Amino acid sequence: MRSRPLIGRAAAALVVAAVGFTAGAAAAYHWLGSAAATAALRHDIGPWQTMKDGAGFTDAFYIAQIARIGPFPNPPGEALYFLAHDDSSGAALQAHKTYRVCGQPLPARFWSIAAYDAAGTFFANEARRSSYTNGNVAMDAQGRFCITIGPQGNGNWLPTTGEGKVQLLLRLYQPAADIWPSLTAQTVPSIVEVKP
Amino acid sequence: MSRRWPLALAALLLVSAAVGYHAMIWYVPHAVMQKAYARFTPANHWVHADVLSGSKGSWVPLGNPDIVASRAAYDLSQGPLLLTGSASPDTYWSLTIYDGRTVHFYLVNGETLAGQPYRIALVQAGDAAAIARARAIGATLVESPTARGYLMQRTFVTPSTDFAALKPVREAAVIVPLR
Repeated sequence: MRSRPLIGRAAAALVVAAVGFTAGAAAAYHWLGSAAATAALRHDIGPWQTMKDGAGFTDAFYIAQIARIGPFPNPPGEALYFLAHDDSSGAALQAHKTYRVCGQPLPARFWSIAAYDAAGTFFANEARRSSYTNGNVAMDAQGRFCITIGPQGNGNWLPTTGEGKVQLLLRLYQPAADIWPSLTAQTVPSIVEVKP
Repeated sequence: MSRRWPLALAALLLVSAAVGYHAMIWYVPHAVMQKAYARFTPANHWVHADVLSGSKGSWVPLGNPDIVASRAAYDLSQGPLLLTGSASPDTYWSLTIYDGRTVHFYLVNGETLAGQPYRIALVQAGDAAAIARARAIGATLVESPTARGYLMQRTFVTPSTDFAALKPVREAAVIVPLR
């Protein structure tokens, strides 16, 4: 007579365990990709976010974060990565808007700025252009560069499509040994929305 | 018993959520590696991208559109490996080795090589016989924390990059058993 309640309770326990496991896994996946989760390991320099030198690289959570966001980076001594989700005023970058990314040459042997959609994939465009590097970006007479990010543009232009969010990734390969003091909100590239 | 039952279910919910949370943190890097093993098969064989990744998308989020990459999955379960090749000249080049959790544990770049070829014995950490063999042939000894992992050569491309000149350098890179 007691077997029915026991079976019912076992079934309820299984359902609860499955729900709990799924919720925990989903929460972890979401948390791994969230900006809030990276706050403790992050340098924010102007609109750009980067990881502190080698911080927590052996930590399981950090490893999973990197694998989720952008796996297989080079180590910090070899390359530095600066990601921007917002413009210099703190507003989220959006694909239907136009921005100007302007700055001076960066203290590294090679550097590049690339544009991605929210999933980290390139915006499809006829020119097949997703980035500019120190080798192909046009500089002005003062030795500064400006890149237009948006649906319309010319010159140094990274096209975007759709209505979703935009991520910009600044890569510095073989950065100068004393690079950190020179990276300030005033010296990193600014990201300013071009109002219509 | 019946009063404790809801509490027991609540505890079970919390414990299973915690297990699910940690399982996902373990799973994410391993899922990336499984994708790499499936994509770069057979193991221990370089796959040379012949175009910039930006012109056809990338297999991982935030792929670099300014490099041509050579990639391989490695598997030390059948024994240690010998990696030989050279840096791409006149541009940024590096070879990075990642373990089975996507964590880098070795890097060499063109500046370090200074025009010389590389000769790397990749062995599983603690494999005394393989380590002795690597030392005997004078190769650079690199110990992998895991039996499987991922290799990536990056060549930064500039407007002046001569693809035709790069091709034989890239294709001369080989992975062979360490004998």
